[in-house]
Amino acid sequence: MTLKNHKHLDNNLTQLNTNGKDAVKIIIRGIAFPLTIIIIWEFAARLGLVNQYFLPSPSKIFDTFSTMFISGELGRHLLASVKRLIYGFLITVIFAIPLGILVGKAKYFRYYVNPTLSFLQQIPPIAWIPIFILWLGIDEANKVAVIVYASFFPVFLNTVQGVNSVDPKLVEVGRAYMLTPMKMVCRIYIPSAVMSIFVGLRLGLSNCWRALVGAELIAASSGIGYLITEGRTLSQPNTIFVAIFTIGIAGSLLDLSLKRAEKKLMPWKKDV
Amino acid sequence: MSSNVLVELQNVGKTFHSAWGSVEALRDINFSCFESEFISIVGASGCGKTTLLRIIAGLEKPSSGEAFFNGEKIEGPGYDRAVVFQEPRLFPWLTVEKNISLPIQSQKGSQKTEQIVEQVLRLVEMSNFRKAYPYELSGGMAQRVAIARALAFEPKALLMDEPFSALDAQTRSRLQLQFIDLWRKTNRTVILVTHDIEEALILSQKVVIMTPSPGTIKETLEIPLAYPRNKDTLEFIELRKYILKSIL
Repeated sequence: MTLKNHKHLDNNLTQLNTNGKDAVKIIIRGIAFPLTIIIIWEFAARLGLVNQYFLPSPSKIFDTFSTMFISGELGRHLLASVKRLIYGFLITVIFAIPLGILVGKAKYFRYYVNPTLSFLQQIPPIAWIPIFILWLGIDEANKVAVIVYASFFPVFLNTVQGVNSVDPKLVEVGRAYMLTPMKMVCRIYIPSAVMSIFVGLRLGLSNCWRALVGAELIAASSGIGYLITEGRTLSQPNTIFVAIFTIGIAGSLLDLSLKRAEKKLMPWKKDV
Repeated sequence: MSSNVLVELQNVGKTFHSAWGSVEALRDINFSCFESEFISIVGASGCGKTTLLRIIAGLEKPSSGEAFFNGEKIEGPGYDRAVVFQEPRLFPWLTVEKNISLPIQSQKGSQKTEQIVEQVLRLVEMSNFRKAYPYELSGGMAQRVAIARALAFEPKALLMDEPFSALDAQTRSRLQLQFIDLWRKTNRTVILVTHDIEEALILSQKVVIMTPSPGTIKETLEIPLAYPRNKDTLEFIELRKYILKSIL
């Protein structure tokens, strides 16, 4: 028995130890596909198989990227977008999590709010932009509002879910072992909700990144989304592609950083 | 052995009500357990043996009759009783040592807690895994941690609800032997619920036989065999046959 069990743990430990090697493998595997596409694309562009105006070659896009990066233009727009994202997301976190805990704990409250929530959930954040502009003006507030709207529901709903999904068997252990109400909340309810809340945060973050770009496409004078509009009006497909790639890469990095935080915060989770 | 009655149930009955009707789980249960005694409660599934244990644990209130622990009426869980459930029920976000120390830390203080944790982990042979998280443990290891958590609570009585039933045969018999050693070392009162007659016979001094619908106590048998017990002796086999017949 013990032999088998030790092995079980050993496997886990070796998994941890070889993480570095695994990471390299994972990166190589993840990069292989886009790299192939880029190489084929580059050849197709150089051989004149595609119109450079519609689809500039990767090397041209990269040239534009470096000029924009060096001049600081790209950084300025990215910073503008990220700033909005941080403001909006913070507002969401400050309101959605406490409200979610409250609604999760109150048994019947959800029957009153659920139909309204599912109605609101169906409306894409971008559809609100004109009305937000009307209400909040053309400046920053309307974009922040869109971000809050886009991220609020996943964070709120997952918090409610998290508070509700506490395993009653673990709660019973707490009762049987005479845990104080304070310990019940801190050691049972909160940790078991945290997992679900984090799922909501990740979903919310990727939602609002997408909504933000949408908002900037419609009404902004800075930001990554604005860069696309600018590229369109100035007929610069290179700029558009730089912006698109930046959006994808920045979004992935955001998600990755939340994943990292999740792993730090919840070392008890097997798979991240 | 002291002869104080530790657990006493008088005419206890329990009926569960639900949307589709009522179920009488227990009727007219009279049961007592002395200090330092090891009693097993056996019976087919659905005979109310778990309910009986949960009443003693204070997790369930009897519908009729009264339950006493150490002379006092049972009103809820208490520091004098610790439950080992059918599943380990460890908190996944706490390490092995934190799982064990959580219920006792505020009473015993951190230094004493540290000592107790070390001691119980040694008893269940899990000292090497104190920093491990539950997901890193196999079923048998997790159940041993659950037993350690109960021991660390330093209860007057250990209440165990089929703690070995989810384990494979070899792990189970090894844990049973370890547990008998443990019981003889600590000399604690143990009430064990099980559907496994052999387990009851290997471990306990008394076997309470229950029959279902509604759950009643049919008979209480003294097991006069010396520890460690041998499954292959004639007496053991006879007892097993007898209990099996009574249960059916």
